[in-house]
Amino acid sequence: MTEEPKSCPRCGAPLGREVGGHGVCTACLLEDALPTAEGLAGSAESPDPDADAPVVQRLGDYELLEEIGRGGMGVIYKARQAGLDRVVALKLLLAGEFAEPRVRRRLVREARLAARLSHPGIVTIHEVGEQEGRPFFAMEYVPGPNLAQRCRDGLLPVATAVRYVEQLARAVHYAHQQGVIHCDLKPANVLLTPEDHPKLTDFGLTRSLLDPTGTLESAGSPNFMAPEQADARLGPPGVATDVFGLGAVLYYLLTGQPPAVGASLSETLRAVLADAPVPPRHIRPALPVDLETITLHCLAKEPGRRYASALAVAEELARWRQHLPIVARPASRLELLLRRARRNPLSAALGAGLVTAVVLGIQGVAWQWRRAEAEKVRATLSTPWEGLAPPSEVQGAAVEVGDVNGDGRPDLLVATVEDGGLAVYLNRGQGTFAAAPGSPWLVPHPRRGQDLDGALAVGDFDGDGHLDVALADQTTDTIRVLRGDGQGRFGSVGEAVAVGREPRGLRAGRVNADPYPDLVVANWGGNTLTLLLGDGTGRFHEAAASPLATDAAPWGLALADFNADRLDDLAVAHSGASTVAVWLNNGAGKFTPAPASPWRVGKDSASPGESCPFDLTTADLNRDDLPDLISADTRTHSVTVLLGDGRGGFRRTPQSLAMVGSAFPRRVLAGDVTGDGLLDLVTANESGNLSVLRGDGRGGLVPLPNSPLFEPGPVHGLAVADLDGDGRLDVVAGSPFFGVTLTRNAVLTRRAR
Amino acid sequence: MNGPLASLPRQFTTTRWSVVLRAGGADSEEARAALEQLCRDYWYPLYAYIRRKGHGPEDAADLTQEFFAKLLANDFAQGLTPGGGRFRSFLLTALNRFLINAWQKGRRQKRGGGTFIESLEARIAERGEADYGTETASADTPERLFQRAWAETLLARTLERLAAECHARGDGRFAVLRSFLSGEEDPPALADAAARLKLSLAAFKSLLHRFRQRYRELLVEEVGQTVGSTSEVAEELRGLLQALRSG
Repeated sequence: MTEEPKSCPRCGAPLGREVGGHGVCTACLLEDALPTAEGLAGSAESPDPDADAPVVQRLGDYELLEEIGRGGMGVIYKARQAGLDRVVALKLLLAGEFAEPRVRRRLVREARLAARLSHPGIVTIHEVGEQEGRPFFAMEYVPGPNLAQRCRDGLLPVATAVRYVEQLARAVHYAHQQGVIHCDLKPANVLLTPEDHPKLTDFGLTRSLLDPTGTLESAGSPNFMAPEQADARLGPPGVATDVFGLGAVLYYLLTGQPPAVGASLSETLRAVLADAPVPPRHIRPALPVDLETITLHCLAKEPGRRYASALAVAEELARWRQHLPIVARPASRLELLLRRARRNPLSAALGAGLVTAVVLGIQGVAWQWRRAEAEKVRATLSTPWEGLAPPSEVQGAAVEVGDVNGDGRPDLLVATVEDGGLAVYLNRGQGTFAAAPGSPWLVPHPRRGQDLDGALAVGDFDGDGHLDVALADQTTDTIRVLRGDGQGRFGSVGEAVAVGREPRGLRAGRVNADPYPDLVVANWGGNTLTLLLGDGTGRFHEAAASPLATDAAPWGLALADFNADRLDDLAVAHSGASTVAVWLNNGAGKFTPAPASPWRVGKDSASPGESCPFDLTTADLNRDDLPDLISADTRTHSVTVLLGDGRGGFRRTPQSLAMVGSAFPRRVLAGDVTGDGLLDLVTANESGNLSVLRGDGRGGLVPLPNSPLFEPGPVHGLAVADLDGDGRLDVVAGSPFFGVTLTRNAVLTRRAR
Repeated sequence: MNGPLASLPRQFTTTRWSVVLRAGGADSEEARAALEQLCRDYWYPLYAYIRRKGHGPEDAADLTQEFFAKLLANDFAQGLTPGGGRFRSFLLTALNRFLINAWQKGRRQKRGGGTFIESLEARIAERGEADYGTETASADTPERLFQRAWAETLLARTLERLAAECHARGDGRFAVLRSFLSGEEDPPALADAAARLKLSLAAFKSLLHRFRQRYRELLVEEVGQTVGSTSEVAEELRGLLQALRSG
């Protein structure tokens, strides 16, 4: 066999594991069949002897004239209604889709509701019926084109686009007042009349297709979908969903593309949930800023942050059209009031009154300030780090930061998934990293891929002044210690130490009175904690009091001196029980539950199992020099702060529960990332982004907008450190398949300059 | 725009996926059999995807089986509609939803039995890791790996059928012909192959032409099993190509 070329001779793509020696890549081989497939699509219209479908040209009263459209739900015909001699559009839904009578009834009920709508901006439904088990709708015939077709030859003039969407918004508002929600606003659902007025079609049809949780089960193209339609946990679709839809249509008309794009359905859904749409002016720079603001305000991920109604959108667009200031940015409310007052002093004085104006002004300023801060942090955390292209072997992983070679710069330590071991990246300064010579170090027993949450702990275990590493191995249920030589090299110490089943959490701290670091291991599979006492040589043996039996599976683990006796106590997150339990250290390596332990986390009203505390960390958030506990809850998307009283007790305040939007916070760490001298929290989320919760210095939290930073997927590792030496905390995140991502805190850079 | 209406649209020709779609989540022996056959054919891309998501071989095998068990138990089929998308995208969406749930629950649920699930266990044990082992060199994202594995599965199945057809005719030419499948042949090799099959160059070229044509037909048929109607084959193929070539 001759040696195969490294790249496809036809398309130049690199040749990977190709089926057989065909010379070209799989894609090119598949492409060969495309003309055949296309021929098939074309011939599908021609009669097929196998086809057993009836030939029908009439449907009840209707004489079918021609097919004018076809979609996921069915086929639309132009038809003539014999009795009334009018031309209608007849939408025939495919039978199988509504095979279930319950679904069919719901559809018909909703459609009948929609049939009551009478508005110039809405395609009228004349009749809702059933023919041989297939629901059909006779609608007002609007020749079109639809808005998607209208844009095919190029972008519309901005004024036209605005007029269309304003008219649509008024129609949508009318429907909302009648209790009908559209839920599938997109350019293809907007038909243009010969007089160039937009008319919305398919009212009341889509919602029937929603499953009970409110998500669109069968959406073919989710490009225009609101986040709450992509993920039912964000709440039920409602008025805000249509406000989003109006924004999506406006976005499309202004930019020529939908707000969310992805190469595949799931990628698009991900974008719907996680990615902020590209600002329209990035696509079409000449667009007015205010229009961009209006569009993005409609497209806010959180339903509550959008315009409150479709009417508000219409009025906003009308204001823009009339060159009046828009209200989309409450940030500029003061400015707006001033401007309005300048322009129209009488109405401002009459309508608002000085006191109101001042109050609004102050609120506006406060809002503006918060918003500016939020924007700043968003900018801060979305600057991609340049310098480290994660090699594939660091796929997926727990990460820690520490100075392994004594040069004063924090280096990266990564537990790797595929090959099982430790990869080390040395900080070369200026934000560049290089793999340490000899890295990665594989543990003798090759480890399978696994969840590596908390699988890594660092500390000077052998007392030589250099950082060492402990790795938890779920395959063998052991802990391995790798000793660092202070040059960036690591080597195994002794045998692996057996621990309980499925060690997931590993923390270093001081469990007994001797000065050597000890290890505590949360055995997720065994409902136990293993206490490993260090002897100062890098070796560990199990404490007499170990293992501690826990009430439920232990996930997150935190060690701190909660009762001010200079010994590390233990806190454990029990996801199954929705609680955090605290064990106090009695000094002899023995632990007893704290008096009021465990504490509930997540929402107060949550019953056991409703919240799911996963990661746990400790920090002094309220500046009383006593450690507090922070639990990240993957089920209720929240972070709870438990304020320590220094006696092993904890309390919550209403401000100490913060939601992180749609994200599942899988890891949480404290650090002053906003640079105001107060500790903030950074969460790394299952959905693949980071959230920052700003600390108020009293244990309260203020969520800041999510900043999508890297590709989605479970984030297994999080570390916060000043990696580029500019005095601000940067973020390191380890994801099981997108490797390690570094995010530089750019606010600092700006300020430093 | 279509011409004057001749008839209502034909029912979807019976592709496996259209049978599943038509059942729309209702319990149907026919739909289950069709779905099972599809799963039998396309389990590997899912396994590879789960593996690349960071799960170990045992976990991935468990998850794959549990997913298929749920799939065959109709757990995801509710709300399926004719025209409701293609098998490939349906699977990936369903799988993602399943993985999030599985992850949130933390612990694996006991999977349902059934002979297919049992046979799947054996298949995964036999081939899953062996095949996945060859993927480790690539740095593909799970998503991309899935698409690639899907394309390769599709191609492999097509070639299997092509080989089977050749063999059924007592035709030993498949081994020679397949290396010319791409059409990227150079003349000396063609002449050489013709000589080996004891054919004139012209006859060989004509045979090759038919071979390639049959390959394309079979591939289209194979793709057709995973979509709701024949009119969607081209779209599915284009979608797959786009997924393969992006990134």
